[in-house]
Amino acid sequence: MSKSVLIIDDDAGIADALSLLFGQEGYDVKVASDGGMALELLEAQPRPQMILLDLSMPGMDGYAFLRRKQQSDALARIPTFVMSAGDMDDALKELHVSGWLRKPIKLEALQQLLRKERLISNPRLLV
Amino acid sequence: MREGTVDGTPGLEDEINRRVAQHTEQLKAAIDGRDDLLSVAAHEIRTPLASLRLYLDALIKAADRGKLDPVEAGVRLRKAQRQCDRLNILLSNLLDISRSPSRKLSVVLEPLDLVAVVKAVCDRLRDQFTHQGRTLDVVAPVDQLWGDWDRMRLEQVLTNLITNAQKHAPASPVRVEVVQKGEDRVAVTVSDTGPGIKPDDRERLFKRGGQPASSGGLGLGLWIVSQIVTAFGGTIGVESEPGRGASFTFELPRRPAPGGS
Repeated sequence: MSKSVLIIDDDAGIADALSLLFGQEGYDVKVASDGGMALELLEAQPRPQMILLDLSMPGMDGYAFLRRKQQSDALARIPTFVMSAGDMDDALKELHVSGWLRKPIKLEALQQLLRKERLISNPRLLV
Repeated sequence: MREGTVDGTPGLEDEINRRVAQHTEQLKAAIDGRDDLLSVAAHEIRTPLASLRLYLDALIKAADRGKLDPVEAGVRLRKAQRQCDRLNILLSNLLDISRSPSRKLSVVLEPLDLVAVVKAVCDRLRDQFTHQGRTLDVVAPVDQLWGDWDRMRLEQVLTNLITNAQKHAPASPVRVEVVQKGEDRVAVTVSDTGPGIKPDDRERLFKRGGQPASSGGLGLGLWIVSQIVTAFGGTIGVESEPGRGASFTFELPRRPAPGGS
């Protein structure tokens, strides 16, 4: 099974640069510019193995997306990593976020996080 | 000396205390405003810096693996270059905000084709619109429209107006129209079909502090636009009705008077 990721960020530069990085690692990459577009993409099969999520976006922001995602058993199972310049707050802890990437994201931090989640070495662990 | 007096002047001490309290409040508000602005500015700068860093990470990684495709690398390097341009405009905005009112805005005039500048700015910003599933179109009745302007300032005005429409009219297409006004003047209109602007807010838009600073921007983009357009000897205005979009038009002389800034 191929590796796959959904990147949700309203900034085209960040979404595109992350797509390039994940593409180089052999991931099938999908991109959404807000939570609403992401939920539409998540209706299609196969669903991504993980989600990278920006918090501050016009339209449906990261918090609203996480709340909607939690309402669906199928979507709630997809590990979601939040990308933000701020700190993890209590609201996010309650929304079952899998991990935290501080912006500006560095490649080493991304690799560490993915290694920690064993996504690179064994993506089937998350199926 | 009686209570509430200084040197026997009734009420003077009360008046001094009132004024000190008033000035203290004003200074506190100014410091809070500056802190808010710095916080938003840091966020605004961090975003293009973040994507620039990621592009470089990806290209270095591909090079290290011996898999750097020249065509692909060219595309990504141009995208990285756009992030540098974005940073440049942001820093120009910040410098203009911190400039003392007594210091003139620096303007360096050179012969420029306005149509080409508008197209180049829109090409740089189009990725962002495409990513959000909307369009950014240029309408120009002629292929070229020459005049003497400052390229960086012109790009700053156009970028601020287009990103303003992008932020305040989410999901709306944005159109940039270039118009020749007689022999001596040109006009550029940036229009959207978003929520529009209330009449009360329209009057404040171009004033310093007329827009609130937020995670969407410094809140000073339109004030900076107004300062630059005025320095060129031009005018700026907005037409809008709530619910029916907004059109910002700036008009410039093709040959601004030397030292007009």
